Amino acid sequence: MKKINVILHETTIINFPFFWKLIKRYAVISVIAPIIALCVGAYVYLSQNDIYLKSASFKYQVDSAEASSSSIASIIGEKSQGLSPNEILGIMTSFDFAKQVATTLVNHKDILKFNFTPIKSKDMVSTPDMMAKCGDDFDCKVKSVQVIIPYLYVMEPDRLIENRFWVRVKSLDRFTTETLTDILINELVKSRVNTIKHSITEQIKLSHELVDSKREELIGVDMMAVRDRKKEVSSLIEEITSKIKNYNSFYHQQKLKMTLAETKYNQTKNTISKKKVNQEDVETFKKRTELKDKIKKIQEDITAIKLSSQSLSSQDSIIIDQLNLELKETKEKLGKLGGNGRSISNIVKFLDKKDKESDFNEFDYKVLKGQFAKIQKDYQAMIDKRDALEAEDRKLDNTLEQYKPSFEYIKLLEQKIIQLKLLESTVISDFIFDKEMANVRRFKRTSRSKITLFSVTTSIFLLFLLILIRYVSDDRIYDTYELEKSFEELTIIGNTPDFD
Amino acid sequence: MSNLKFKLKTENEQVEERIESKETKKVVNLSMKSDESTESSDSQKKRGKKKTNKFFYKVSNHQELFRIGKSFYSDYLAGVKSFAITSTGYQTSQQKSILGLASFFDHKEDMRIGIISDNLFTGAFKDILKLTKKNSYNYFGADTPLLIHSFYNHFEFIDMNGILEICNNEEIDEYDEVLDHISELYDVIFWDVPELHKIQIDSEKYFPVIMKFESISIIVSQSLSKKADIDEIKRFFLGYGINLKGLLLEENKTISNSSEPTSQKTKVEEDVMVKKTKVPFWRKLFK
Repeated sequence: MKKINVILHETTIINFPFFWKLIKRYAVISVIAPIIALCVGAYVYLSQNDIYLKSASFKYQVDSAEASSSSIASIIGEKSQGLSPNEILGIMTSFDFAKQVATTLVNHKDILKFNFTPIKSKDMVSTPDMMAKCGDDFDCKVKSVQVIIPYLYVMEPDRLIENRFWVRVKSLDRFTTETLTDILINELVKSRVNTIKHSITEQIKLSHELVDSKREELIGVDMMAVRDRKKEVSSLIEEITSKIKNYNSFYHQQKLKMTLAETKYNQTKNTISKKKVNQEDVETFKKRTELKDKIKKIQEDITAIKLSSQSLSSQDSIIIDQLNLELKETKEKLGKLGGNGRSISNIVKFLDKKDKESDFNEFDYKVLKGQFAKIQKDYQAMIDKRDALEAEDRKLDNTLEQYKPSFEYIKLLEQKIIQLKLLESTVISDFIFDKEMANVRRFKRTSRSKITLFSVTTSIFLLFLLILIRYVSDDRIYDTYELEKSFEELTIIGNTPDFD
Repeated sequence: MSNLKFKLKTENEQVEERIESKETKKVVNLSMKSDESTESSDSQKKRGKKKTNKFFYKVSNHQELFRIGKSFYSDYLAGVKSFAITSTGYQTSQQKSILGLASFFDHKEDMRIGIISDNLFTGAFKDILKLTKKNSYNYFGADTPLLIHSFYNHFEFIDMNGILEICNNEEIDEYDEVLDHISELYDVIFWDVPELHKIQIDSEKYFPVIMKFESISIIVSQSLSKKADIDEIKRFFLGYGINLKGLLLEENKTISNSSEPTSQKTKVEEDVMVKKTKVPFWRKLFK
């Protein structure tokens, strides 16, 4: 324990100056330990097989307009869900894919040239031996290759670019790496196209089944007849509505005329029957007329006298005075007869006129009435017909409404089937591989720098460990410091004298 | 004891010592100036002149020696006079450390310094011992003389095995007294402690010696000594209640550089030893 304490330090944990002293003390170990580590590192590096790596990158264009199948899908409204990165990575790890690749490899003309030895394997796998073991059994050959090839390739997502992936093939042979890369690219594309096609075919099949089932539901209903009748009824309604509209103005016009004639007829009749003129009033009217005529004549006479003589003679004056007197008396008489002389006159004239027109009014009224009755009958018949058609139209609407979803569904499905068929015929892979690929890279499994780093680290560790073990197992005293630490209870007097 | 030393000193040695003294006096004044000020004037008067020690100046890391020497010297001033140096099997390092410390003490003060080792004839002591003069000390009887190797009156070497033989001599029938007596001969004694397994194998034999240790220091050889071994040594001597002074670190450089002995032969031997201790890298990996 004291020895361990010597090598430890309160601050730096390890007492580095002392450790350096130990390194110098055990110089042989200090030299041999790194040499051993470096030799082991060199041996490990040199004993590794050359690994040939080829990488191919591709982009998964799920929603991109660059992918033609996606474009068509978007045009026809077919929205693709797309694959998740894990699903894409899972393609290459599936047994189906391995089997597909194995089948292609076994069918390859240079199958015997392949080296399927996994890079981590210590034992070499001989392809001719592997093939010979199976004889002519194709499935056996495929199975043998299928088991071993997943160790040769891997798919990784790009660390920086989304939806970009790398297919890396590592093998112990350049030819195997190059050929397997090409095969993998082809198989991936093919696999993807088949998957998409399969999906679309399944959709078409499902659509057909749905259409058939919906059609069965509509067997009892002749939707076409209903739709034709609906169209016909709609047309008739439209026609009759227009007719009614036109007839309506004529009807109202006739009705107005008839009302007017009826009113005229009734009023004439009432007037004649109710308003009969009083005889006294007629006599008074006659007197007033006579008096007015007399006044007029007197005034004319007076005016004529006045106009005929430049200077009035006494006779004239007397005549004029008499005429004036007579005019005055006549006016007084007229005044005594009252003021309704004119209305009576009009009434009399009006009654005479109406009496003469009453026969015509009655005739016209009867004619218009008869005509209006006929028009009214026709008008009513049109309205009734329109109502009947509208009722039928509503009924047809109900029928169509009832079966419309199924009908529309079938319609949509039929459209969908056409779209899917179009899509199926234009499917391409949505894995877009780069046209240019990097050349095959040759390297060791553990790189030189890693081996060097490992060797250096191991050297240091080994050096530390061996020196520590050596130091702990070494019971000898080497210097004053150790002496003091080992015998803390004793005094170090000094060094022994040294003689010249 | 000073008389004894004086007797042992030959005329040639005295001449050589004078020459050395002239050559190194200035350096002594510079390096040990402060310490000399504390040095008692009585001891200088007592010895007549300051002894010099060429081994002290041969030490390349003066500061380190000064540091450890000062530590030991302060213990000495505190009353400790018996210092044991042990290690996890590096006898040469022990001997070099003892020589360095003895030289330091010899410079500090005029004192009687004794070095007791069971490996006098190997390692760092081997060449020095050739320059020493052997004196037989018959205090315990003529039949059982104790050989004392005196190095120019600076310090004296005694073979631990010789002491142990006398201790275990039934005729003398003295056990602790022998060691007590020897301790009394010197102001400071440096014990070159035998390897632990030797002591453990024959602990009864070494027990009186161990009991004389007042302070023990353990040499830790850089990148060679193991903690477990040091712990074992520590536990062993603490078990006897001996004061554990501390640890001395011997750097790797010291091993290689210090293996430059006085003679070419010794150098070759040390190289062989260093090579033996060096473990090949491939063995280190799987060790």
